[in-house]
Amino acid sequence: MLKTLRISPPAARRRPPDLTPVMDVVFILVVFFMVVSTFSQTLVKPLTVTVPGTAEAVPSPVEPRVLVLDASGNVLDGEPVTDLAAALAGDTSTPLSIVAGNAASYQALVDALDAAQIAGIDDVRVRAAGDGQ
Amino acid sequence: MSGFSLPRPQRHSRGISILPLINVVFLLLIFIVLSGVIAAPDPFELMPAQASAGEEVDGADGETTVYVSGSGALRFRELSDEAAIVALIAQLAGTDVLATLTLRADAAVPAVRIVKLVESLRATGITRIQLQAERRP
Repeated sequence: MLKTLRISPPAARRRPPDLTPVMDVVFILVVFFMVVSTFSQTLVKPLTVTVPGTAEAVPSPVEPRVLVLDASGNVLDGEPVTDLAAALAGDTSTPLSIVAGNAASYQALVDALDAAQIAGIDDVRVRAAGDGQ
Repeated sequence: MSGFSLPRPQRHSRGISILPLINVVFLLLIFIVLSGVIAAPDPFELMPAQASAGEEVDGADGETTVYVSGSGALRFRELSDEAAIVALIAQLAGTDVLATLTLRADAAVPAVRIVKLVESLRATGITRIQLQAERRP
């Protein structure tokens, strides 16, 4: 009778898989997304600008309030204003005409549009100083 | 006096476990993917105006955005000449490609420049123009 010779298999040592390549890939992904992502929140404002002399520039039946933006600050109907949002909040039904002076920056214009939007004024017109309307 | 000594515990020299590191890095990855927006970079360095009210959007669509740099230079798609930009927008104004035009301008640009630009863009027949700003922190 043949005796079977048994060779015991080597004790299986369970080693965890090597995760270093995974880490390499994940680090590269992290760096990639950090570089290409932007985290700032972007807002948009719809803008309605009536061009003088076109059919759209229908004169409103109500005399609009005029907000002049210039280097010296904001002037609403001849009165200098510091807190624009509060000054505009009083009367939201009257149209607002924003006149951008030569020294006003785009930020000042956006601030004025912002204040008008917060105040809830629907009819806002923008024109450059010097353009008659 | 004979002292006795305990046998030293056998040291297993194992590699440092990197599983916690992978956990953290994966969390970081998921956070960045979820919170960030992949957007085309601006054609030139510009500090957009800041606002606190407005409709929130995901980044800028480079195809429908007119960029205005701090010095007043323009860029729309590959064009930088104002007359050419206005001509192209006039061509696209009626189509679905350009239903809404977005203006992304530097905060330091004179407001008059933007107003005049918007007026000439409006004259092309484009119906919706929107100004883009970043949320004030």
